[in-house]
Amino acid sequence: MVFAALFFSAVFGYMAGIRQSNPGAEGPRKTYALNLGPVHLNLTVGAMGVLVIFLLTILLAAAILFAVVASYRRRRAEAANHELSKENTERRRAEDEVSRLNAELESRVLERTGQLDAANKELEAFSYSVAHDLRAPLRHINGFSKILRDDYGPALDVTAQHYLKSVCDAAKHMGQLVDDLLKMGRIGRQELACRPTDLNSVVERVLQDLQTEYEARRIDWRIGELPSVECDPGLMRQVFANLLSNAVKYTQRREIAVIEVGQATSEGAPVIFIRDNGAGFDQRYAHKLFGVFQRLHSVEEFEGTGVGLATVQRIIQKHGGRVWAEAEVDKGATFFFALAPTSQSSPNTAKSVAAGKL
Amino acid sequence: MTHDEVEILYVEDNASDVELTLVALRRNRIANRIHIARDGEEALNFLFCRGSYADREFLAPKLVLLDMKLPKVDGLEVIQAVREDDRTKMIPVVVLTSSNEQKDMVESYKLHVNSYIQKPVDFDQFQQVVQQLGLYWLVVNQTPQPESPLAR
Repeated sequence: MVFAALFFSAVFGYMAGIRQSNPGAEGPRKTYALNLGPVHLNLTVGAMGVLVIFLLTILLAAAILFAVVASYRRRRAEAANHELSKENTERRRAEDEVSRLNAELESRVLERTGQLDAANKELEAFSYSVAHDLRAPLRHINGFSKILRDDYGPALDVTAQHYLKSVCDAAKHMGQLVDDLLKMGRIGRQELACRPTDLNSVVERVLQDLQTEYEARRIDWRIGELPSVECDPGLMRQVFANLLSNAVKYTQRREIAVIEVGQATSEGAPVIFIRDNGAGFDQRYAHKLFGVFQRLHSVEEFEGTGVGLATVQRIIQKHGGRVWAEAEVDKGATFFFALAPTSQSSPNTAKSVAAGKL
Repeated sequence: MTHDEVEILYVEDNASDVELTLVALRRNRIANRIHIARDGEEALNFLFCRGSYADREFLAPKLVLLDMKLPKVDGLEVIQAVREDDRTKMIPVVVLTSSNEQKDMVESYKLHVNSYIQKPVDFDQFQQVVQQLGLYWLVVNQTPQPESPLAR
């Protein structure tokens, strides 16, 4: 490019020289005075031409340089702009994708929530009709059997009276099953209403409620210091009610029952335990203990529906905790439960735990 | 018995329940002045002397025993109608039902029901409940005279 400019300047200069020298051939040699401040130059036409060419060449070179730099800059800016707009487009596409995915997720959540709501409603309707309609025939079976027993009992022989009693008992037992199942179903649907709860006062209230079950018994109650925890007090009461009434029930053959409630540590975390010296169970079947309708004793041995411990487990799991048991046949059982770590809110927990023993 | 002497209006659609309740009432010697309505509509017709009870002279019963799940007009609608009318709003209404669903209980109490009883499955327990109920609402409890100006 620069060479081309020099070439054109040279050609241009030469042409100018010819033009200036042609008239000079007839008259005196023409000179140009160049006044640049202190410098005064008298230049012949040829020298002037060379100077002009020189200056023009420099100008042209500068212009070309400028143009080259400008074009280089422009190209760089264009490239950067291009890059930027590409990035912009990509970002916009990514944003569109994100918002599309969000919308999709939201609609899927809505859809699933709707399905869940529908399932919940169905379940509610189911348990409602169980509560209403399933109990009624049981009441009738029990009622008419008892009227038969009361009004016609003397006319019946011992076997007939035994059959009649079996009918009444069965209806009553099924009524209990229905009630317990409904209660458990309700726990599943219920939302937790957690607040700091003093477990000692929960135990105290439960023992008051259970009084009729054990007032004729000799029980050595050993209630230790329990922490205050973040939990649903109503549900926690059900946990203790089930575990303590089990302890009372399964120690009924002991002359003096010993039922202990306390706090201990398991794998470094605080746990609550309820221990009795009752019938216990075979540890091999411990995994079946918390299943609905699962029982490790016959109804003749110890009455029950097999819903209590399933309810306990459901409540503890709802609190993010776990429940387990250790026992030996005829040597008593210990039930442990631990709530989620965040639910330990008592400032004296550490001290109590250190004092607790397993 | 004329309709005017009715002490208990018993609203129940199930025949076996009616029979068992009547036995329980009779055994507790409180079955003599009871009227049975087999659905909510009949109960309201009786109370407000409408339909087949149009010739009845209005007299509030001492107690309404009410099942929840009834054909045509259900228990909650009966309570609402009873509470909305000046002539009947002070009648004690006791819900006697199979269910102990929180929803039914909450709705009933919102409508100012006086008592909510779940019928026990065991008939011996049911008889005790009926005895306590009859004794309390017909003997122990007192209600204002409907014609008293203060009751308006």
